[in-house]
Amino acid sequence: MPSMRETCPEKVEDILRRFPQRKSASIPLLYLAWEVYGYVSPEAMEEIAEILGTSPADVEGIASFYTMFPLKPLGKHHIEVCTNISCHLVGAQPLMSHLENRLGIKSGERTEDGRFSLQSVECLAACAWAPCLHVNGKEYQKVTAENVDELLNSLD
Amino acid sequence: MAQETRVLLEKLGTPDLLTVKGYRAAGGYQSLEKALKEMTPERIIEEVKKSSLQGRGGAAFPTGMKWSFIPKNSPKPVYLCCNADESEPGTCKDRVIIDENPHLLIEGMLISCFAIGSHMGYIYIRGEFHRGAQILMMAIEEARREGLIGKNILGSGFDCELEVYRGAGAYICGEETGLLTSLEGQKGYPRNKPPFPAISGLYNSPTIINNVETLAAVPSIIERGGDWFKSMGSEKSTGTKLLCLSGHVNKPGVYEVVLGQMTLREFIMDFGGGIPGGRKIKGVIPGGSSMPVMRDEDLDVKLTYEDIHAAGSSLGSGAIIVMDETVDMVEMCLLLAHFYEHESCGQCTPCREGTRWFVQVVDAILKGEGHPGDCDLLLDICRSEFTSICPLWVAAVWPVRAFVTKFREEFEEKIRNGKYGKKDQPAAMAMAG
Amino acid sequence: MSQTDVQTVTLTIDGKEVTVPKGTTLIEAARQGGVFVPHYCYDPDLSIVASCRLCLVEIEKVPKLQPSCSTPAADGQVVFTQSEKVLDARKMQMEFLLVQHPLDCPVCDQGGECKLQEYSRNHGYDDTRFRFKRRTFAKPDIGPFIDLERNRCILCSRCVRFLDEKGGNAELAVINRGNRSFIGTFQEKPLRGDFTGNITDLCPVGALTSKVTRFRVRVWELKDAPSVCTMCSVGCNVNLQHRNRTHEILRITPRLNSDVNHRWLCDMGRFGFDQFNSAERRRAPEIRENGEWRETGWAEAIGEVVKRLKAVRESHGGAAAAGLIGPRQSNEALFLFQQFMREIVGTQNIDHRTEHEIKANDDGFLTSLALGAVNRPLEEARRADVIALVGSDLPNELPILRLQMREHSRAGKKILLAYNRPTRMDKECGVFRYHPGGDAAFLAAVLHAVVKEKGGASDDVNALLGQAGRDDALKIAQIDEAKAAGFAQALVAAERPVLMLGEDAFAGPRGVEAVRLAAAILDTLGARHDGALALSLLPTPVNARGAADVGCYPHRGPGYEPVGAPGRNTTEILRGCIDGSIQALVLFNTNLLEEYPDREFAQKALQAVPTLIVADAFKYETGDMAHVFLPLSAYSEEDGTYTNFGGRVQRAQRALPQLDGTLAAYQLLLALGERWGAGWRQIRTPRIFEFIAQAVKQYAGLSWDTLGGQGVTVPAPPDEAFSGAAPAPDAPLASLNGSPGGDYPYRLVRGRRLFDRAGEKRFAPPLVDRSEPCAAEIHPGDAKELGLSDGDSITIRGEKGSAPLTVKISSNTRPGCVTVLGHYDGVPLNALAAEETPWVNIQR
Ligand SMILES: Cc1cc2nc3c(=O)[nH]c(=O)nc-3n(C[C@H](O)[C@H](O)[C@H](O)COP(=O)(O)O)c2cc1C
Ligand code: SF4
Ligand code: FES
Repeated sequence: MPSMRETCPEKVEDILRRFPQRKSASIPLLYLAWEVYGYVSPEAMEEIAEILGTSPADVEGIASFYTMFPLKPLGKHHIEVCTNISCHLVGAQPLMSHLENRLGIKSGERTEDGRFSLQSVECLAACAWAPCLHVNGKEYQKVTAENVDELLNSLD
Repeated sequence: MAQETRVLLEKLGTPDLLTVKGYRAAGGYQSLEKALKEMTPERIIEEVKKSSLQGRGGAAFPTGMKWSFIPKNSPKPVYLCCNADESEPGTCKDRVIIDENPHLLIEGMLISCFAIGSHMGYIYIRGEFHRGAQILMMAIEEARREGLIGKNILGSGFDCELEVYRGAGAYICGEETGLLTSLEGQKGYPRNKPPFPAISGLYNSPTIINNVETLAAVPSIIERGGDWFKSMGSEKSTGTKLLCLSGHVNKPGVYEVVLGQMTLREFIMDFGGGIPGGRKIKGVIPGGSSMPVMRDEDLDVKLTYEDIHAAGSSLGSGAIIVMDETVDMVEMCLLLAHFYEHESCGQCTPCREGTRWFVQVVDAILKGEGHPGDCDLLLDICRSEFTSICPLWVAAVWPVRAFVTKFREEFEEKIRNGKYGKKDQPAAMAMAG
Repeated sequence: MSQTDVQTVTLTIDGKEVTVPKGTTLIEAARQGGVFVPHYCYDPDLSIVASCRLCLVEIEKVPKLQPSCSTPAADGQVVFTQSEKVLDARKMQMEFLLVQHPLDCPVCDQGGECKLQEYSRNHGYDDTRFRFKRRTFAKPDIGPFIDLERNRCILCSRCVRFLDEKGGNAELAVINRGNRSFIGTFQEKPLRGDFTGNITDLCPVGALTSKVTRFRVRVWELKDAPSVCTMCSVGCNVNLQHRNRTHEILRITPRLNSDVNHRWLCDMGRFGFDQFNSAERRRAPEIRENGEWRETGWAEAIGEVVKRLKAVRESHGGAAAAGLIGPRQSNEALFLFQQFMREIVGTQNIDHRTEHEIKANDDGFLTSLALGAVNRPLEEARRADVIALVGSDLPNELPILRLQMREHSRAGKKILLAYNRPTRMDKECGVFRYHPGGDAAFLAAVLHAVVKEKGGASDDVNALLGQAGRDDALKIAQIDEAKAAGFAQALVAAERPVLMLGEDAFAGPRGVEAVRLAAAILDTLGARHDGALALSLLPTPVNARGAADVGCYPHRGPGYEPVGAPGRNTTEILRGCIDGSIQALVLFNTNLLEEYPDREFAQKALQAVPTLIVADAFKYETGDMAHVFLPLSAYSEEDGTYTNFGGRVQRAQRALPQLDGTLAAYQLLLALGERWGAGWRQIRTPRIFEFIAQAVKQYAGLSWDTLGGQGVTVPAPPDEAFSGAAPAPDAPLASLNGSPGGDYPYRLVRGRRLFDRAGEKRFAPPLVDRSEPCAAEIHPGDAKELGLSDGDSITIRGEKGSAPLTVKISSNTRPGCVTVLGHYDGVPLNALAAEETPWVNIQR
């Protein structure tokens, strides 16, 4: 696998330029790794450690602290459903169950064909438009067990 | 019936508000011009102090006072960090400013930077706000092109850069020192205080951390004066406040109101359009998930920071979550306990271990495996609330303590009807694991 | 800082007034006031995180309890460490820590040393209110030294901080968040640092324990013997933890000595103790007759040795006998050895320098003494602001000095590191790279630059420069003038520079020259303190300094006193064996075939000599060639003193009685003297040390007792020992530029490795597990030219022999070189080419 410095050297340089201290680039570089490889691979963590002058263990510690970074490949459509209080009060649980049934996977899993992965997540700050979910980071509001199929069908 | 008073949200709906042109057309960036050209940093801080603006991130600390803690003539650079982590369950107000009026935040940050002697501002935005981050980055880019960010802003001689930093899924990075460690590229482990960030914050330099809404209020204070801001609301709760109304109401939403004009119940009923199905309210969390839940009979309290505080809770981040009579309070308690367990950074003992223990006990009660002493056990665990590094553990304790004390009968009933309920003592302690 | 600048604060702790320097934390202030505050995450040698929350104390007028580990003491503070509020909070933290903790004390190796056990007895609940499933984590294998049991971990992060801040490359991290946090290496890979064992000392519970000791013993069965480590010349202070019943050393732990190793050890020293327990150790003397080995008793063996040596002395004279002793024996054994050879056998043919070809009796080390070098690396590094290292792969040679360099670098000192390949400490240093063998040339280039910076030099220095022309120097070292100038400028700018030379520089073929150049650099800089030149050499064998001090030289006796007619040095002795002028050779504690740089030559010599006596703990290939083999006991079984590389004389007390059938080297020597009829008799170490103190001037006044537990540093030998004259320089520098012959175009470089199978390390299975296989490291350019790729099998052939190896392509090796790291135990590298003409070729 070519390194990020081979694939997109300008992006790496641009990130490093942005901070007075190099280490601050860790999270942006983890995002870049996600973008380049589809997940934060061990090789990417090693490369980031080298770029930042820190250890791979340190980078793994950081990457695993933040729940958004996928340390394993995700589905083509990664669905994150808020199950926190405001969404829960207006139907997040039935929504989640519906998705689990329909996709045949549980939270934290990926469908065998790799098309979908599902994750229940904490509050997404859409409480006033609950229930809410994200598909590959795009937000959908007032999604319920009743209207979610429409959304799924629209995904290729 | 009380009405919205739109100050921060005033310009929403005007065309092209996401662009500098549109924002200017609606009167934007005039406060910046005024601040840079007609005012000194001291005057600005004075004006903000006069306004009695309190931080909108949850702790309600007076903003002007916070700013004045920055050492004068610091040999190190001074930083401003905008807290756009917005992760407190129930809270969804900052994103309205970010998504719909980003230049208001930028203007507020530039004025604030000027006031505290900073030339670098970071916006720490939660990772899940993909779109918000895009909007901010584009707005900053444009503002830079327009000479509003960068060197010699508006010909004033003041230089200032702004930068967006994305978090990646960690509530703790909303805690101000966790935010700083995260911005330094580490795990978001909060730091012991002192030293306070104003003395040693980002990169060990003097740093101010303010919430989005706080910073967004600054342009209006500069434009119309601190006295004008203070003239709204109650003695202690001045200006306008964005309130996020969610849960069991007919019209959830984000509303901007002057505090002190109505009671909490009036707000819920008037703005929220009542409870679905005309059901009764069982409980309300008035300030984001960390704040103690209130019972229906306590809701006739005036909607101000001080009155809600006197009623034993807090307006916190302004997130009001309504639970109707159908709600199982033990389940709610578990939900929140889960949240804090998931979000504890794991650094310090009471929080790391206590949050998990909470979950285990409440979960047992909910599953009918509670023991007779469990409510007292939960309350006893709460005793350690002030032994942690940062207030997350406090934030985990408060809801549990409030649910258990205010709805104790529900907990006890589940225990009574459960596996160990009939006996005085559990027959066998299930010492699993 | 003057006395008046030191500000103090006075506060009250538990009713007692305490005055401490400003900036002292409450936990330390309390300790000074005799109050112990329990804690887990705090460690005085690490950064402070204040995360365990056990050390919370109450401060009057402060509403919340504060962590005493991170709160600075302030004037007038009134602190309580035992108030009801504090005790309650402490009890709560203990309960929190215990709720997830497994109740596996009976099988936990920390049992008896566990802070969790200890504090829970003192501060905890009697029973647990916890009835749920405990947290469990996967158990990874993190290498041969350390056992990680995550379920017992309380996440104090001491281990993480140690490996980040002190002794490693941040190899451990807290993975995940919150409750799901655990300690781990990157992707569960094994630990590869050099100091990982220290985390087992730092771990307050049983999460990190020694895998090497695990399951073999319960800690309360172990007894301590205060000793020093003998794996390198730093001489770290250790406890040899042993169990008499099974005659085993079962653990080595550091013994606090802030002048030496503080409280740290390297993994080689810590985990190598199974050599002492090895079944390979010989337990009876052996005599070889008609090619057959026969075990025998000591009486016969000693009689045989005396008979043979006496016979040589009678027929050929004492000068036909010779003795070599490895610089790893105690001072007592070394002293008695030279005494025995000189006074009883009647020969000056004595040497301890078994690892190099000796060309001049006064080698680099003696030259440094003659030039007034201070030779105290640890102290000098502490006092310097700029530390310049030349010719040392420090991490692979003297690990604890390396650890301290890291501390110095973190404290803002500048470290210049000149070596022929990358080292594991490059990150902490200003790095200068020169061609292998170019150590002296590099120093010459630096000297030129220093003289230029300074605008002049003494006549002596100018004379030296005349012999080592600048262009030659730059060419041989293959370094830019600007680079050399950079090194020089950093030295010139320093307030208190020190220069340290590694073995590659001072003990190699151009050692004397390197030392003279280094001294000239320092002289030109005026870097003398109290008359001593700020130059320290870094020999690696544990008692190299002691062997020199007590006179194991052919031309100098105890205290460096010149002897009348010098005897033969190592190389001359071996030559004598071949030409028949040496009839008997006594080897103590040296596996000459492995150590001597020309194996073929050594082998010829050992084959030729009519009497070969070998005394050692292991037989090795050298012992196999002997006529009489005498098994020695291990250093852990005898009292002895050792002098570290900085001249610090330290006691190593015996832990166990001698292994049956073995004798301590000093006992054996005394027995030989006794049997000879020379009037020697068995005496104990302290008494032998008295003789040393009489014979070696710098040791005058010392005794076993005055050495105490922490040792005493002896002064450099007086000038008169060298009659003021430094040895003459070697041939001009230009002769270094030996051009490779057409048949052998590559330079063979023997790199160092801490974890290899050299010497006794091969008898410690954990060290063997940790060692990496040898490979031929080749520069990518050369590999391309030769059409080689990683993992290819090749043969390296030199004038004297060949060895099969696999290829590792790396730009760590310079073009035109082939580097082999560490001890190679197939065909030894010293069998390929001689030290001064290390030319080889590479064949598929
Ligand atoms: C656990 C925790 C989470 C927090 N999350 C947020 C947040 O998401 N956004 C925010 O503005 N403040 C948050 N805060 C409050 C901040 O620590 C800080 O008080 C605030 O950003 C200061 O800004 P202000 O003075 O403008 O309110 C949080 C505090 C804690 C203890
Ligand atoms: S209270 Fe919780 S979140 Fe805060 S530092 Fe401690 S473990 Fe981390
Ligand atoms: S020792 Fe102070 S918090 Fe751990």
